[in-house]
Amino acid sequence: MSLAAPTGPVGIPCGRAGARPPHVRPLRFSADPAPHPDESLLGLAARTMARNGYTDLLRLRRFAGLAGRDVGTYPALDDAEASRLAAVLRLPDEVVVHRLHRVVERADVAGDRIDFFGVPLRAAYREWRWRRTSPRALALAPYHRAIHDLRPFGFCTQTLETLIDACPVCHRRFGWHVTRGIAFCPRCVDEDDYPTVDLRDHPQPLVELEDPAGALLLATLVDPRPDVRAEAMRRVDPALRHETPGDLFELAISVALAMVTPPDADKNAVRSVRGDGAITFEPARLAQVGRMLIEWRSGFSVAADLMRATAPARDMRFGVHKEIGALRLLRTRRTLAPGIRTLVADAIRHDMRRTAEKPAAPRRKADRDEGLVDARQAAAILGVGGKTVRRLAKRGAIDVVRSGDRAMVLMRRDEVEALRQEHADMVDGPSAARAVGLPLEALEALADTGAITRATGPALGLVAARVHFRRSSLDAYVARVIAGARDGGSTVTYRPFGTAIRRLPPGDRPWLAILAAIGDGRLPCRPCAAAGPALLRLSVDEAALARVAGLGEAGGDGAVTVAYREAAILLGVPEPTVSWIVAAGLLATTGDHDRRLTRDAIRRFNAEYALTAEVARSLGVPPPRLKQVLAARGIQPVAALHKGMRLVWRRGEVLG
Amino acid sequence: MSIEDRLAYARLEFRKFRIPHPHVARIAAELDVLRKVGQASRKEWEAKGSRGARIPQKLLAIIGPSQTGKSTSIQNYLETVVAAEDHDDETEPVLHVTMSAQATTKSLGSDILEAYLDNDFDSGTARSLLRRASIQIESARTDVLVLDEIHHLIDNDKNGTTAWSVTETIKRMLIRGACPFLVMGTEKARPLLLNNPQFKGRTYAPIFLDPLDLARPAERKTFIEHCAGFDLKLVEHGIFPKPSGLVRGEIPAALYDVSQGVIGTASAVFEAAAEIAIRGGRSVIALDDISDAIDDWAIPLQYTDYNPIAQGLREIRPRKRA
Repeated sequence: MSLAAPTGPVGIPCGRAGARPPHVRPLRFSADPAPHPDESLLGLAARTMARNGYTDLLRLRRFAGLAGRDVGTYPALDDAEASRLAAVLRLPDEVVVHRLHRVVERADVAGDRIDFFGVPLRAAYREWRWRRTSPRALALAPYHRAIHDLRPFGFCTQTLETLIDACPVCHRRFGWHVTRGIAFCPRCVDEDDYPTVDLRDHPQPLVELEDPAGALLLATLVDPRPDVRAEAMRRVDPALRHETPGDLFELAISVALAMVTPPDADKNAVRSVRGDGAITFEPARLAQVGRMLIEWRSGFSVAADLMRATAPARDMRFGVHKEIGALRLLRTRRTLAPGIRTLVADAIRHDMRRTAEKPAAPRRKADRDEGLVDARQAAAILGVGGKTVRRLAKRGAIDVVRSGDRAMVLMRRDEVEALRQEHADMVDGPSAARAVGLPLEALEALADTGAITRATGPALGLVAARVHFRRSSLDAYVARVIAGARDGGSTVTYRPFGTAIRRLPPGDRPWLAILAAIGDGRLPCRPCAAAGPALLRLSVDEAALARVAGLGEAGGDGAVTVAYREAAILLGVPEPTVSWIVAAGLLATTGDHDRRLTRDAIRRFNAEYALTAEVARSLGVPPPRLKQVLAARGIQPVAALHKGMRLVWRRGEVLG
Repeated sequence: MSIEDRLAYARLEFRKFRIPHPHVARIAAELDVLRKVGQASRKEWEAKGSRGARIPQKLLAIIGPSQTGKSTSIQNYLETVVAAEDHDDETEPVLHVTMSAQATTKSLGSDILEAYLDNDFDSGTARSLLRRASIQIESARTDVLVLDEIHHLIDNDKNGTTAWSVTETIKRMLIRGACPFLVMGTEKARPLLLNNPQFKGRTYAPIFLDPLDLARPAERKTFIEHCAGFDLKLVEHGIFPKPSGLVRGEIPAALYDVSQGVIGTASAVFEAAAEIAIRGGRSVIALDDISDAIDDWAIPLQYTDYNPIAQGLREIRPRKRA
């Protein structure tokens, strides 16, 4: 921080380079009584001029050689000018210099600042154009209190009287150019030019303070008397005590400004400090922000709660700004010192946590409470899109903390985590079937018996497929089956499990029986070199499989549809052949757009047709010669699939 | 010390002569009373918080011809009484204002401000200057304001409008009650007191300082004591080493004839005689020196047309009282 001269609070250049040193003409009488510690420079000058019978403060320009200086810029004089003014007023230099309001340069904050009796304050906070005064204070001692120049205060902190800046009789505002004594209206005069309106005869209403300590703390923080400021700092919350009085004052005023920012204002702007009366606050407001400095966390929460009361008026749907309005902006307000901004950010975070259970408005982020997440975070945790999360919330699949009339929800993090784990343990039916190497109908059958577990609960809301299984139950079942498998020795004929299944006669496969036989060792098997899922890496005793299959249970519901891959097993053909059969019109599908096959349709096909492999196996004829053999018997294939490579025969003709 | 040095020294010391005189004592007493009035009035006003109207004041007029000791009495009071009191440099308990020769309402304000050593005493309108003057009376805590040479108001004021406006102004200042006024002037100022009824109503009983009358034993004694006092002051101030015997023989009677009882004029003749004695290298004033002084100073300046020392004493007729 440094004091820079010679520019003033309004940036008007002062002094003339190279001018001849002006002649100083001291006034005859100095101020009587002597300057008060909290008296402003302009007030002191006006009082001294009035004692000498002058009404025009601009005369000081001539007496002190302040060429080009308007009265309002007197508080920004440079050292030489201040010294001359002091000589004119018959005062020591330091009395004048102490009362100057020079520009204070600060790199860490934005906004013009002036030195207000050793406290850097924003220049806009000081009223330099109009004189504001308290008639009751004048009655106590007729001098101008510098603190009356501070716009945030609409009342006298000494008398609690409403300040006036205009004559109660003529209603003209008090400027600084004309004076007839600090206690008089400069405009109301008699025929001899004597003042006729003594302001002390016009006391103004007193303000009522519910919290005087809070309201007056601000005033004492920037009091011109250092001992008063020091006492004020002792009453500040310990969390704030390391900040300077000026920065704390700026914090309090910024909070007050945020609180009076209209709900329909730009959401990125706090109310401006410019303009007449823009930053003159109600006593109650000053009490609130003053109390906030005394009790930082709770005081800030009070301010935040007051902002929440006006949340419905803010034209937005959710979020922190909806909730606490312009208070949110103080985290990044450049006029606040960096340390203050951090304190505000912490306070907002703390307050959000405090109100996380019952927020006044929906929140964009639930990071105010570690136990809550919003939809976006929930989607990220679950690895799904926002729509899915909202669908979950809508279905009630997960408990939500709702607020306001919009759909914004907060969820408990532990529930979402549980959902994620549940979701991770789910596998849809086709994927499970591929992973295990069994058709979906086999898994369905296993689930029906409880061998494996179907996925249920809210996690189903995260997926589109209808059939899901617990991955853990599936893995456990397959592991049990593999573990129970027994090698039948080398005397039996082994075929890969998939091939052996396919080589069974067409029709429903008794999966439960087959898998139970493997698991209890009744169906001998041994590992094979095939790739793929665990079961498909087994070779089984084909003869034993045929026996088990023959003892198997009947097929399931005929109306149930199956995929081509499952149909291939039921037809005993490779999967592509199913497509060719369908293409040949021998096997009906459920529709043009849903080309699934019903179990009944497959049964009908098996009952009416047979393919070359089955026929050749049944007749004991090598497949390549089957057409010739049957042709010799006058039997022709019903259809030739895939460019004549796969022949379909009428079962009744070839197998009799 | 050369003759020239002695002359210069004497001329300076003459201005410091303060010869006890009943007029001086009387004016001092009147000033004391007026000051007490002013102080009590201000104290009462300050007890009310220096707010509201003050008690209206009145003025005391002292009328007398030049050289009767009016101004000297004020100077004597300032040098003896006020100077002995303890005041800061901003306090002027008694302000002695000598009015300008071409007195107007504006010059009245300007003269008062000048007497206060105001650095801007001649700048502004009459109204602003008078207002400033009134305010400075308060600021300087002035008990009494002495307006000297008030007769300047009617010099060159053929129709009396200026005098009227100034007396009206003084009256208004008295009504505002800053302090009592003491106005002094020659007999030409008498109409000022008589022509403005409201002004007249705000005047204490005036004091007329007439020339001394030898027909009155007390005044005769006063005149002789003044001559003796001047002789004594010559020695006190080191102008001469020993008394000149200025009350011996026909000297007092001759001086009375020349001065017509105006002690200031008598002093002036003595001063001129002292200078002649110094030029002559004498250590006392000789009778011839006084005679030469009458010839060289009093007759040319038309104080008299007769040298009673050279031409012999003549019968002195009683003065017509003012």
